[in-house]
Amino acid sequence: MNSAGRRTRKDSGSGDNSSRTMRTRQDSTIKDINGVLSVRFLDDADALEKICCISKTAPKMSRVGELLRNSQHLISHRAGTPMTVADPDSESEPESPPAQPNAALTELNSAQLEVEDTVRGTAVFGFQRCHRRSHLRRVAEEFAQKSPVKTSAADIKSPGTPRRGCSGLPASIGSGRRGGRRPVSRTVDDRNRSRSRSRSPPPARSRSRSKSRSRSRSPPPPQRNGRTPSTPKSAAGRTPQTPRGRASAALPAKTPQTVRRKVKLRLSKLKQEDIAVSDDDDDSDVSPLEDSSEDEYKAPMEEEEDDDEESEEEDDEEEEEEEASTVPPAAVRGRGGAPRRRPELEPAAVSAEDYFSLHSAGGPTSNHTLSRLSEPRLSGAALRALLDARPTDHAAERAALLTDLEIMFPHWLAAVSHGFNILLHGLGSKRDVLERLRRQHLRERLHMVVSGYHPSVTPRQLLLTLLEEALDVPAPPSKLEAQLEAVERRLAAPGAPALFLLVHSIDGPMMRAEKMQYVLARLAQLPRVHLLASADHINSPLVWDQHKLAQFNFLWFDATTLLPYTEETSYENSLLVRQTADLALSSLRHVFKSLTPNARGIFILLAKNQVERASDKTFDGMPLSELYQRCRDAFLVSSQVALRAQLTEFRDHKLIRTRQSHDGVEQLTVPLEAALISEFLASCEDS
Amino acid sequence: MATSSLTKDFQEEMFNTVFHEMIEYLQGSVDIEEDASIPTATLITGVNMPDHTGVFRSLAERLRAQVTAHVAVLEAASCATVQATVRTMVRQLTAAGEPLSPDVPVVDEDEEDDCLLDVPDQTSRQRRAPATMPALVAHYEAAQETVASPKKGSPRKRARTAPQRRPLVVVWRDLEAFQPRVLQDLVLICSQYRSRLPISFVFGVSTCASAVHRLLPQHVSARLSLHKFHSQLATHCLAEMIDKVLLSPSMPFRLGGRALRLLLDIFLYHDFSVNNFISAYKFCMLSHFLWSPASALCCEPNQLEERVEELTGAQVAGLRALPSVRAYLDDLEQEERHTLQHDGVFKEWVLHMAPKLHSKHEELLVGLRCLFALTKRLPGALLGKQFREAYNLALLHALPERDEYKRTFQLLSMLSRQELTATLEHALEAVSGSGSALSTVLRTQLDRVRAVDDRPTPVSAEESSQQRRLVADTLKQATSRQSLRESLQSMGAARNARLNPYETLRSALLAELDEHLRGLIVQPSKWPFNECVVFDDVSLVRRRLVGAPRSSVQTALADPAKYLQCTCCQLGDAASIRPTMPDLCIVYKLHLECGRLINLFDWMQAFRAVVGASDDDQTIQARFAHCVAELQFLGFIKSTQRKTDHVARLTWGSC
Repeated sequence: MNSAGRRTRKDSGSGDNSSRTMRTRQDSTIKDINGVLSVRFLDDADALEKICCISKTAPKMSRVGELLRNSQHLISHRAGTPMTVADPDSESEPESPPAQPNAALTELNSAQLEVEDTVRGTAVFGFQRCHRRSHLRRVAEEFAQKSPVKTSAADIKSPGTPRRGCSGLPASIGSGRRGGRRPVSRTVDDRNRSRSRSRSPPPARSRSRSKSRSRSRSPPPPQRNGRTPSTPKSAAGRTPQTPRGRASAALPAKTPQTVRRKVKLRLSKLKQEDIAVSDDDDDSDVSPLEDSSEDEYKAPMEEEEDDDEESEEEDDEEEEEEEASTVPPAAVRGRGGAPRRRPELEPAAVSAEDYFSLHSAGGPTSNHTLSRLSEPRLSGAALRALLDARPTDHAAERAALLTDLEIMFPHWLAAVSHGFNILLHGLGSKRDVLERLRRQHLRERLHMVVSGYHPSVTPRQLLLTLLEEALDVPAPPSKLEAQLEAVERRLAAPGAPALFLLVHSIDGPMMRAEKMQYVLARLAQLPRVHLLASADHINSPLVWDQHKLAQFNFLWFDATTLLPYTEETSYENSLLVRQTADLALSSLRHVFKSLTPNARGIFILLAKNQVERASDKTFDGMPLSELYQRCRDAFLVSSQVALRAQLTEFRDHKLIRTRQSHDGVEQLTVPLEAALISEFLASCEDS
Repeated sequence: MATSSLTKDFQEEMFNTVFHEMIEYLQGSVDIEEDASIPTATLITGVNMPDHTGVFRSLAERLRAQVTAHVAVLEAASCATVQATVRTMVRQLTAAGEPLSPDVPVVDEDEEDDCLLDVPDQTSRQRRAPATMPALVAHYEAAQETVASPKKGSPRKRARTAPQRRPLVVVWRDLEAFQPRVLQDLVLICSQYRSRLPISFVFGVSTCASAVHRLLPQHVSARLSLHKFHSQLATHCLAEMIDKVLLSPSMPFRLGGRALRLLLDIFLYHDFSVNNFISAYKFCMLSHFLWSPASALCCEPNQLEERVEELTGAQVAGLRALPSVRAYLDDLEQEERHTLQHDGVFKEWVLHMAPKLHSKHEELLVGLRCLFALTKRLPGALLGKQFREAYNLALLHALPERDEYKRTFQLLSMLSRQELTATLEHALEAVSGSGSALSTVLRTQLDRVRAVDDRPTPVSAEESSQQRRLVADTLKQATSRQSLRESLQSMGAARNARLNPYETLRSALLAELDEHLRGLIVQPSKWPFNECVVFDDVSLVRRRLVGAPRSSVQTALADPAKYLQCTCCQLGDAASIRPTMPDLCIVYKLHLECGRLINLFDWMQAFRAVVGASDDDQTIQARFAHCVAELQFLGFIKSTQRKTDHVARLTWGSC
C-alpha cells in the first residue's frame, strides 16, 4: 500500500466518521419514512398480522430506533461496544507462520541455503511442501508474464508448469534482483520485498528493519512504503546476495522467543489501534471466514493486489511493521478518537500446545482440604444471606449494561416478527433481560416462559403446559409427536395468536437432550412462534447441528450483563454448598403420602434398616431376598412379584436405588444421608 | 417487494425437472404388479440438510396433485420402531385417501381435524380403524372401488381409466437417519404386500447412492428395484437464486461486496444451504430498511418521485452528507456546488441521479457478463468459475484496475482468429438479451474478425535472405552466450513488430472493447447515492448471523472493563488481576493459573489474598462459593472424584 493510498484511506475513514454523526442527526426525520417502509417491506403470508404488530410498534419503534441509533453511537464512544466483542476472530487471529512465506523463495536461493545451517533448513522445508510448490509456480508464472521477452500464446496457455517455472526462475529473478537495471516494476519490487522478508522471520527482525527503513525514509516522507517503485528500501544498497541470505538466516536463532512474542504482541496492538482509528466501523473485526480477505477489504483502490494469498499475508505483516515504525505514538492516537472496538484476545489466543502443557505439567496440587475451614460447606440459605448483605460492585455499570440492552428490545421484536429468532449470549444472567422484555412488551401478548436451568423441565411437560395453559387446548394428547402436531395445528389455524416463547438457558442441563432441542426447533420453525432464548454454557453451540440451527434461524445478540447467576445456580449441586436436601426430603414426603399403607411399610422397613446400619462401612444396601423375607414376616407382601411391583414404583420416583453387588445380588438403598432418613422417619412416626 | 414469492417460485422451478422425471417413473410403477420388487426412486439430495424440508414438502405436494392421493412422508424422528413406522405410514396413506372414499367406515380425518381441539384426541384415536397393513389393504381396495364405480360415463372412457390404479407412495426423508433394522423390516413387509398394494418408495439420500446398500443387506435390497435421480446441486440453486433474485432488475435493493462475500462464504464453507442464504439475505434487507436512513430512496423507480417529494430538510441534509454524494460534489465546479446547496435544486438533482442507480447496475451487469464470457475460455479462471465470483469482485474492487482484468486482455490479445471468434460469440450471447450498445459493438466486431485475412504477410525473398544473412552474422559476432541471447531477442522483437492484418485488427478490437467495458464496469461504491440501495454493513451481519458466544464470555471474564467501561478495572496486561474486578472474573483468572486439577482450598486462599481483608471470612467464602458455582454452570470446571476437595478444569489455554 503506498503512502497516497494510506492517506486516502485515512481520509475516507474520517469521512465515514463525520458522515456518521451527520446521519445520526438526520435520523430523527427519516424515521417516519422508515416506518412506512418497514410496513411495505412485509410480504409474508401473515403479513397482516405483522403489519399490525409493526404499525402498533411503529411510532414507538422509530422513536426507539432513533434512540437506539443515537445510543449505539453513544455506546461506541462511551464503551467498547459490547456488540463488537463477539468477534469470532478473537479466537484465532491467524499469524502467518514465519516459515511459510520463506519457504518458496528460500528454495530459489537453494544454492546458498544448502550450505546454511541444517536446523533452519529443516524448519523451512519440513512443512508445506505443496504450498511451497504452488507458490513457486505462481512466481514463475508471474514472471513469465512480466518478463520483457515475448512469450507465445501457447506458453501462456499452459502457464507455469512446474518444470518451466523451476528452470526459468532463478535466472530471471536474479536479473530482477540485480537492482534497478530495468524499470522497476511493481512485481519486481514486490518480489524484492518478499524475498527480503523471506529471509528472516517477520516479527523479530521487523523491528530493527522497519526502524532502519523509517530512518532512511525519514527526510522526505512521501513514500513511506515499499509498494512504490522507487522506494529507498528497494533501491537502497542491499547487501550482496549471499551474505544477506546467510545473515538473515542466522538472525532468528539469536532472537529469543520471548522477545519475538512481545514484539508481535505490541505490533498487533498497534495495528489494532490503528484500525480503530482508520475505520472504526466494520473492518475492525474479522471472522475466521475472512482472514485472508480482510486486508483486501481495507485495501484502497489504487493498490494493486497480488492474487496470491501468501503475499497478502506478507503485506499484512508488512503493514503492521510499517505502522509500528511510522506511528510511534500510535497508542495515544488510538485512544484519542474512537474507543477500541475490538477486544484484544490475540495475546490469549489458544494454541494447541497449551493443551499439552496443561496435561503434561499436571503439577501436584497441595493436599489442603476444605476441612481446614471453620465451616467447610455453607448452607444455601446462609450463602444467600451473606451475599445479599454485601453491596454489589459496579452496580451502576451493570445497570447501564442492562439499559443498553433494553434499547435493543424493539429491534429484537422487529427481527422476530420477520421470522427470525433471537439468541442472547454473553456473560451474566440474562434472566433479567428477558424478564424485562416480557414485562415491557409482551404483557398483552401470548407468551410462555421456560426456565431451562431448572433440573426438571421435560419436553412433554413443556408441550403440555403450552397446550393447556397457553393455547387452551383441553385434554391434550399424551404422545410427544401428537402434542407437537396439536400445537402446529392450533397455531396454523386462521386467527391464531402469535406465541412468544422465552427460554432462559436454552442450553440448561435438561435442555441439552436431543428430544428437547428437537421440540424447540420444531416450535421455533412455526411462523407464529417467536423464540427468544438465552444461552450460558461456553459450549452451548454444540447442542445444535446444521439442521437445527437452520430451523432455529437465530440472530445472535451479545447480551453481556455481568449479573450473578443466582437463580440459575441455585439448582445445581454446587461444590461448596452443603446439600441441604430440602428438596429431596420434601419430594420424598410427597410421594410417601400417595403410597398405599403396605408400600409405606416396605419403604419404612428399608429406611430403618439403612439407618440402623449407617455406621457399618461395609454396608452397601439391603439384599432383595432379605427385604422380601422381612416384608413377608410383617405381612406386607405375599409374593416376590408384588414386592417387585412396589419397588419399581419406588425406583420410578427415585426413592430407592438398586445396585448389583459383585456376586449378582440385587441390593437396595435409599439415596439419602442417614441423618435425613432418620429425620424423615421421625416425622412419619409423628403423623 | 416480492422476494419471498420470487424465491419460492425459483425453488419450485429448480426441482421441476427432477420431480417431473420421478413422477413419470412412479406413475409407470403401477403397471409392474406381478413383479415382487418395489419400485424405488432414490433421490440424491445433497448435504444441504436445511433445504430438504422444502424439497420434500413440494415433492409431496406434487405427488398428491399428479400421481396419487396416497402419499406418506416418513421422518426418522417419528419412526423409532417398526410398529411406529407402520402406524405413521398407514395413517398418512389412509388419511390422504379419505376425501376419495367418504363411505369407508373409518373416521373421517377432516372431521377429526376440525374437532380436534374440542374432542379429546384419545377418543378419536380409538374410533379410528387400527393402523396396520391389512387395514391399509382393506382401505385401499375400498377406495379403488369407489373411484371406479361412480364413473358411469362412456364405456370407452371407463375402460381407459379403470386399469389405472393409484400407487401408494412412501417418501423416506433422509434415509440415513433411520434405524437400519426398521428400514429393512418395513421393506420386507411392504414387499409381501406388493401383490395387493402398488406401493412404491422414494428414498431421500443425502450422501450418495451407495448409502442404500450400506443400510440394506442384499436380501432386502433385492426386493427393491432402485432407480436413481439426482436433484439440483446446491451451488446451482444458489447461482440461479443470485441470478433471478439478487441481480433481478426489479429488485431495488442490492448487497454490497463485503456483505455478499460474507454470505457466500457462509454458504460455501458452512452449510451449503440456499434457505440459509435467503434468510441471511432477508436479514440484510431488514437491516437496511430498518436502520439505514438512506434507504428511504430504495424503492421502485416509479415511486421515487413521491418519496423525494416527501423528503424533509434534515433528510436532504443527510443525503447530502452521504460519503458518495460528498465525493461527487467535491468534484463538481464551485458554482454547481453552490446551486445544489439549495434544497429544491438538490431534490431535482436527486430525482435525476437516483434512477441512474438502477441503470448503472444494469450496465455493470452487462459489462460483467460480457467480460465473464470473455474470460471463461481463458486459462486460469481469472474471474472465477461462477458469475457470482466475478460479480463479487466487481463490487469489491474497481475491476478494470485489477490484475485479473489486465491479464484477461493480455491473454485475449494472443488468441487466434478461430478462438477469438468463438469467444466473441460467447460474449455476444451473454449480452444479447440486454439490448445494450455493447451487443451491437460485439456484433460488428465479430463481423470484422470473420472478414479479416489472418494469413501472415508474405515475406519477400529479398527480405528472407537478408534475414538469413543477419542471423549468420549474429552467430558469428556473438562472443558470449549472453550477447547471443540479447541479439536473438532483439531480432525476435523486430520480427514480432510486424503484424499481419488480423493481429492489427485484433489489437484494435480489444482496445475498443476495453474502452467500452471500462465505461460499463464501475464499482457501485463510486456511484453517488449508492448508500440508498446498497447495504454493506458486513460487521453487523456477521455479528448477527455468525454467533460467537464463547468469545464474548471469555472477553467479559478476562477483561470486564471492556463491558463495564469502568476506570477501576483497566488492565495493563491481560493476565493481571485487579481486586476491584467482579468476583467471578477474579476467580476465573485465578483458575487460569492452575493445571488440570484445582485445589478448592488453595483457590479460595488465593481469592482471599486478591480481594483483601475487606470482608470477614464467611463472606469471602460465600462469595467464592457462588463464583465456583457460576463457573461450573458456565462449563469451565466440573467436580471430580480424583482428589478430595478438588475440581477439574475443562478448558485449556490462557483465555
